[in-house]
Amino acid sequence: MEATVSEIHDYPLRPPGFAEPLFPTPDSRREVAKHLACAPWLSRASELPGLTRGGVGSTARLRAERVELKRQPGSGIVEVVRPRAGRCSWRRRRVVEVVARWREVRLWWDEDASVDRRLFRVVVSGGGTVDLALERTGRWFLVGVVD
Amino acid sequence: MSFGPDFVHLHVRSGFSYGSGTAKPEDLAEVAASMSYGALALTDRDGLYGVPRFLAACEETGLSPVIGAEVSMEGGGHVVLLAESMAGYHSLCRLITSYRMRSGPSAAERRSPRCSLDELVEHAEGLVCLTGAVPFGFLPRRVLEVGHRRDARRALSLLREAFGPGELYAELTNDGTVHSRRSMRTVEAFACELGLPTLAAHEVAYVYPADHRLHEVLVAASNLTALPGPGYRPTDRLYLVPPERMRGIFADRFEALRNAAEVAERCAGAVRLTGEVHVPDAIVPGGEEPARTLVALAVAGARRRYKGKSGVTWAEIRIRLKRELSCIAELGFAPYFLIAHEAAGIAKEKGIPVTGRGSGANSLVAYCLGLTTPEPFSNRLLFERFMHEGRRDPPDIDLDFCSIRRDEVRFEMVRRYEKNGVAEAATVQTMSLRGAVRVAARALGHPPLEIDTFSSKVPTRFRDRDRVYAGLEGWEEALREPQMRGHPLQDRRRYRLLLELSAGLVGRNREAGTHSGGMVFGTDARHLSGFVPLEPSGTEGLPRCQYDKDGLEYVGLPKLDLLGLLGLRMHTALSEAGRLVSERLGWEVDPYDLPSDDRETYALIRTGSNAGMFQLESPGQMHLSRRLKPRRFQDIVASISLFRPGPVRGDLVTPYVLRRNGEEPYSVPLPDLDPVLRPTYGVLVFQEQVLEVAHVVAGFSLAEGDQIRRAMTRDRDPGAMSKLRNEFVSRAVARGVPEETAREVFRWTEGFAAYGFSAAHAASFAQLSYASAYMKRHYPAEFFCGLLNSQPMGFYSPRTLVNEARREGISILSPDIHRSGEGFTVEEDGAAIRVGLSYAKGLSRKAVDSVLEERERGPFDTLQNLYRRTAVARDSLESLVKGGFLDALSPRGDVGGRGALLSEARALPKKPPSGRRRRGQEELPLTHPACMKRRVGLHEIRGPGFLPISAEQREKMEWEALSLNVFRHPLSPYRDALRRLGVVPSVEILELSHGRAMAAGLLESLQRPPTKSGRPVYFLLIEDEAGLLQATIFERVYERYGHILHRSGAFLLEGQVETDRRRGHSYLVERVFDLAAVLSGERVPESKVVPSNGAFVRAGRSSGRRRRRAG
Repeated sequence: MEATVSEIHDYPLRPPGFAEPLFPTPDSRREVAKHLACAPWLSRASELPGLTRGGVGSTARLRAERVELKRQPGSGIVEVVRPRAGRCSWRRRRVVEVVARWREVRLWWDEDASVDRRLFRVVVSGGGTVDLALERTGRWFLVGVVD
Repeated sequence: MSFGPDFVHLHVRSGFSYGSGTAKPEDLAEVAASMSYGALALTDRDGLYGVPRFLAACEETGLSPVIGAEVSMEGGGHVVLLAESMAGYHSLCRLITSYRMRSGPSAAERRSPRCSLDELVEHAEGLVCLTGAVPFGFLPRRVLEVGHRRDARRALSLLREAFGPGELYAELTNDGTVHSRRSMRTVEAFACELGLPTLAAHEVAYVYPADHRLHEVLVAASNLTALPGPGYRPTDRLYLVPPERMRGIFADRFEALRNAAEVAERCAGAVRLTGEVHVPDAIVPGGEEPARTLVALAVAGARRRYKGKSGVTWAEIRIRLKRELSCIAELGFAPYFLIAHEAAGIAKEKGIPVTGRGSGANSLVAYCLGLTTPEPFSNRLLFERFMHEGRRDPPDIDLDFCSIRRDEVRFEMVRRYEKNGVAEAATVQTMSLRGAVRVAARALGHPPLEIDTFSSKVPTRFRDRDRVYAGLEGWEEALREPQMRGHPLQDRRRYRLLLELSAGLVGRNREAGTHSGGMVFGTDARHLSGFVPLEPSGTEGLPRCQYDKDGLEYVGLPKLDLLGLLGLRMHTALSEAGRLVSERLGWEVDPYDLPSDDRETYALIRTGSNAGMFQLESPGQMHLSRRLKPRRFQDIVASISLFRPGPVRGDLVTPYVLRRNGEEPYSVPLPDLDPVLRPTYGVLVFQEQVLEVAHVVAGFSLAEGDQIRRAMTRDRDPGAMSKLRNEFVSRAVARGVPEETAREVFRWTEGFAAYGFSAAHAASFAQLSYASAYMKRHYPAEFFCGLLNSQPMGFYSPRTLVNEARREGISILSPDIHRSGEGFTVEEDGAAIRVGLSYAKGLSRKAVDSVLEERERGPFDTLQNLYRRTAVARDSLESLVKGGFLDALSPRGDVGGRGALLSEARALPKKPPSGRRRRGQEELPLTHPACMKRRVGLHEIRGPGFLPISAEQREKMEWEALSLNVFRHPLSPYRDALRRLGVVPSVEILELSHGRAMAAGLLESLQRPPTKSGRPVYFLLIEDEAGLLQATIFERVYERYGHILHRSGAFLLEGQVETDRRRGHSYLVERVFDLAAVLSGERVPESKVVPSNGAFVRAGRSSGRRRRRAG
């Protein structure tokens, strides 16, 4: 016996061939992304021990890309600008929300590899979640795109 | 009760977490108070080591202390336990004792103790439990690890059984790392799911964010790894976060914040450890009252010790005994005296030498019990200096035993008092600059050889000095020292991080150590583990408590010192000498019962040839002996008291010597003071005299006088001093003393009090000094044997002691495999000593025993025969050959055969490890028949290996194998060359009154003692054929030539002899040369230069190898 998803969940009947719009608007998509980002019960693949370098979790992008954060005067709106973005990537996005912030101080004993920065996980306009790093020099870098 | 800001840090580790924290408890308290915290917890990992200091610091700063510990759990993770009552504190002590004492015997196991859930459940009374910080806590690590939730639920249900409602909380922390918030939410969700209340906390491991580097270095060092250490977290957020920021972090978790404040309120100030003395309960036969038993023992002792003695009446004895016994009874310390008496009794029963020292010798009761040896009346010793009704701190009786047999007494005491608990006191090992360099270099991943290079020559802290090298300024100063010339760390740019880290580590806690002999006992009412946590000390069967001597004093646990210090190996040496003399003469010579006031003994001390004499052998003391010219026991007591950092800095020595020798008159401010100060020629030498001055001038009781002394020497609080001064002056004026005189006496006393030394302590030491001087004068061969068989001890290296013995006219006989004993032995009716087997480098105890045993069965006829029959390893065989032990076994039968023996030894197969041999298998494979020609009696005396060796080669071999100059003094061959250079022997320089002179000798030590002016002056002690010479080097000369002193071991000195009425004789160095270079590249055998604590450098000695007691 076969049953449709609508039947199982007792959804209101839809016309045959109707595709259920799970996230019909950008706002609804953002809400879901935000919920998932904060969900304690959800583990990302990248955070599972053994799957990533050091087993402490990492985002999809490991190389740092220099970005600029521009604050629109008077409005309080902050935009992330990627001067060197490729043709297929976004160049300018608005910071919608800061989801998490933390510090990273590692490898200070290795002059070439030492890291001392503040990190911000932000949701940007368009629904993406990215990690931005503020170095002690005051420069910003895009260091990760959350999977 | 409210704490202002709601948040209170309840999870704080200090440096007493040994590897998991960096802060001093005092710093934590001070910074927390400055941040307006009202309370603060101290929760060190698996210990309460820092609790007394933390409590004292909280009293100072006005914080309410919360006492707890971070307990490492089996299966990983930790919980935080906080005491909410004294019952909780006792539970915590017992819990820590329980799992720490269960840990295995190895150092690694002792470093990582683990508590089981069952133990935790069993000791939960009075404790609040936090489930551990995120992410490594006991609960968080189970909740956060995939697949361990079931474990988490099971563990939590067990914890809930032990800790009731309001006593168990899920600890929420945010360490600022990438997933910390998510992890915290996960733990929070788990807690909510199971109905467990949450509590806002922060894991504090250091005071400021910048300290995270030191913390990570210490973590790596304590795990013996390079950075990053285990459990590394890329964060600098484990610092003492201010309250407003903590409230910000937990802004959306009001409940957790409220719980933290509520727990803090319950636990703050719940643990109070001061104000009560827990006198241990003695085992009294028949259950008699301890005070009554003490009276009976003291009276019987008085009868025994004063029978037939003149100078004191029975009435005086009775009055003083009554006074002392009533004070002891009132303070409840009778059991403590009985325990000390019991320990001394055990030693006497077993024939182990024991003497008392320290301020305990001020007590007539202690003297009558046989705990101390100086007679209190004739030595003007005052009971009040030791104990009085106004002093509530525990008394301190120190007993010195023969160091080799001391453990027999300790283990017997442990056996007898096991029921109440017995433990050794702890010490806190902090890092010197050199140690810090090693720790930092290892953490930075430098290989061991490089670490050795970095740390060598780095100045360590100095004994008898006020300052240590600290901070980066300290490093700059250290790098300017001459010994650091050309050191790799001079490359400041390259090693910037290493320099910074080591500067930050100096003075931080490294590990817990064990006190040299302080024992603590529990009471009938409470086992010792209820007062303080116990842990393994590293000595099987002898636990250690977690508080050091200051901590024990703070919590009121009296410590009984059963010492066997290296310096006090003099007991071992003296009893060994006594045994040897008794054997030779056929009647008993007891070094502890010698004729008093022996003129020849004092005559020897006056010559300054004091090497080997207890407390009189340092160059400074030798010099003082020549100036002071002791003629009676009191002179030795004064000599010991005067040559201390305080009196030297205060320049008490010069007036004392001048007045003692009648070269300067002395006066006292008041005629009444004459009887007090006459014995010390108007100089206030002893602490006991401060009490008497206060008594005579201002009418203070002796107990009040002691309080003045303590205020002058310890506290020196200006306000308190001013109050004391006014009290002193007003009471003196009331007795008819002019006010100006009273003020002058107080000022004068105050100035001297800081430098005074306890007469009781000095008199106890002086007894041993006299005994050692007597033995040296009358039985020198046995005396030097005793010293050489008790190494390491004293000021001089065995090499110098052997040369001293030679100078005393004793022949040094070459070692011989058939005649040498285990240690040095006396031969030729006391005219010669022979080197013992234990001086052969690398020879194991087992090998020595097997040689001694086998030669009883029959002599060794060849080297192979020796090798086959004994446990001597092949490498040690070479050592025996080089040392000359096997000369008689060589084909030539003399020294010349050593080359042949060495070739033979090197050709032998290595022995398999003893454990791997099968039953019945010979220790050494039989020689193949083809090699028979090389066996017994078939040696061919030809070939390069069979050439006779030169005197220089022999000397070199013996130095390598024995670290001794057996054959001759190393400068003997250069006698003519040195004379041609114009070098004057040391004894002749000592005879000169002034003029220029050149000296040459081998390094014995280079020191920098404190001086009156505070300017650095260096004292170089060299040894030549004729004797020892102390040379003075001023700062300017040291800066120019210091690097030679630290690189070479033999010097040519050019300088000036001066004799000054106030200073006596001195040899002031102007130029220093490397002797080997001066002698045109001649290879001068010289002692190895090694850095040493308390001295810059000294002659190398085999301190790592304990000499065995001659059988």
